[in-house]
Amino acid sequence: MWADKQVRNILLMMIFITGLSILVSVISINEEVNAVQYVSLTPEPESSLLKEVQLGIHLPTGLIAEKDFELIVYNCTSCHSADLIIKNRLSADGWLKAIRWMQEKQNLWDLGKNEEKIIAYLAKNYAPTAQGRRKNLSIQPTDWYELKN
Amino acid sequence: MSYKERLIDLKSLIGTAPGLVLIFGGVTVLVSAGIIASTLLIGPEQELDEEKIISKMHPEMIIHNRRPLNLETPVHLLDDAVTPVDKMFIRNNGLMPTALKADDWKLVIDGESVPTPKTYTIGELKSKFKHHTYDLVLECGGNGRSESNPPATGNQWGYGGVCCGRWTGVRLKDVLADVGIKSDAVYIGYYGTDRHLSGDASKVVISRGVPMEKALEDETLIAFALNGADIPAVHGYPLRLVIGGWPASVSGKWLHRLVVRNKIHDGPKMEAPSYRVPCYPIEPGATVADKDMCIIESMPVKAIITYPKTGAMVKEGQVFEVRGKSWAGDLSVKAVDISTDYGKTWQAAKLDPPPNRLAWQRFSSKLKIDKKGYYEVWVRATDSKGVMQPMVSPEWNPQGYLNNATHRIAVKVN
Repeated sequence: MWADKQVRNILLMMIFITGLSILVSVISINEEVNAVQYVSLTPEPESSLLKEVQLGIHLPTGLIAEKDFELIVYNCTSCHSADLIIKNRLSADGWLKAIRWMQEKQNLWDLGKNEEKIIAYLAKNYAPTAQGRRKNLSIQPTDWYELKN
Repeated sequence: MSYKERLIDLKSLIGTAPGLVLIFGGVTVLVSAGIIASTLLIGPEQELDEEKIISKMHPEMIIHNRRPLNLETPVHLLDDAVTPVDKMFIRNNGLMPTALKADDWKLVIDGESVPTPKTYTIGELKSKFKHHTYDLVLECGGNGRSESNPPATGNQWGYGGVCCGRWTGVRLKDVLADVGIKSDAVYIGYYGTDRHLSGDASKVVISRGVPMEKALEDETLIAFALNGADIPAVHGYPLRLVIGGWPASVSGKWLHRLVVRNKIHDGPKMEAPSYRVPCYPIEPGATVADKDMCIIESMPVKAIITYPKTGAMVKEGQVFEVRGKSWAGDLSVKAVDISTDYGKTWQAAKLDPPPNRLAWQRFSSKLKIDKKGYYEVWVRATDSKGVMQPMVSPEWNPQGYLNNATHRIAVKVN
């Protein structure tokens, strides 16, 4: 009788816990689904970004840590990664056009008095290089390898 | 029995062997129940995390952007006849969808030219229509953009924003015949479930399309499989509109709505300057009015050398194979030629026919260079209408689309 009761109690508890775990997993799945990633735009203190700079590069983003790079971190990388900036080369006019396009199509906010500084940073650090109608093939000394048949 | 009493009972059980067995058994049952429950609720796991997707790709893939996720394939990794998923370029305009469930997925077909909108489940699509499989070239409209001068904004693609996967699905024309469309239909457009970068849920990331003539081609598929398996999440699971030969942005991922329009589709990224080029040639860097920008249709003729990888060193007189892939948008490739003297002389490569229309074609050639020095191997394809690839950048356009200048690799002869 004692054992029967124990088994019944344990079975009841197992059913209860199973139910609870299903409930919890459903809730956690729903939370995951609903979690839209809104990134806070509140600037951190300037010093915290400078702490992340090594050899002139802001490590978390890869941006060149020149004057006003913090503005790029705050205003650009909440929507897209900094790769998009780092891999592009544009004149001041080109960067302005890119910003206007993002404001028109991608919900970029008015950059206000920072716009001039942002464009100056981008045009200085990510400027086009002359490449003519066709560049030479870029090949590093370590790229060469022996081709065996 | 009170809660406290039950706890005590449980404590006394832990000390006994049968009790331990019961507890372990219980835990096992719980864990299995949890797994079964979560599988039933969310279906098979679909990878939606950008970093995890990157970790499953070939380690040599070029990362252009982590958010939104954009990866390019180094050209030498495109040597397979059918591109495997881990070597397939990834192009996203927005963020990945938050959840993808095939079981309750619905495809809605409506629009001005659809008298009675219709909805299909994936099961209905699969059971109602004949399945077709095609190898289809999907190439980013901006493939080759990195050579644009003056430079263009966007992902700086080299030559590897292209793939040829084996897609299985049902023909769009069969589905549209079942829906019944009006004779005034001009264009189709897709809608997916990707999310706008700004987090603004009211904004559509991208919704492009093609004219009816292209939409009704045999090879235009509503696909549910890639390379014989479910389409990976990042490539559009569970349904993708797949249209070969045109900029890959017409192949809408996570397809859940398709519209048949009585005018040119006007979804986001149909408008200038997206996926448009000047209607007439302009000088590099010139400004073009939106009304003078025309929608890109077929991609141009192109060839890439997938073997050897650039940087090969060979001996004087050593015979070595050069091979690769060529394609020509809506057309086929009729010749591929190879030069090792900067385009002064060319030799014809052996060219295979495509396995089906809109697939790429393999070419190969044996080369032998008798004199030591630095060489470049250039490859030039000619389409079925006799149009060849240019050896320098073709006409400049503001967004850097359609660069099909000849692909080159460096070879040293010692």
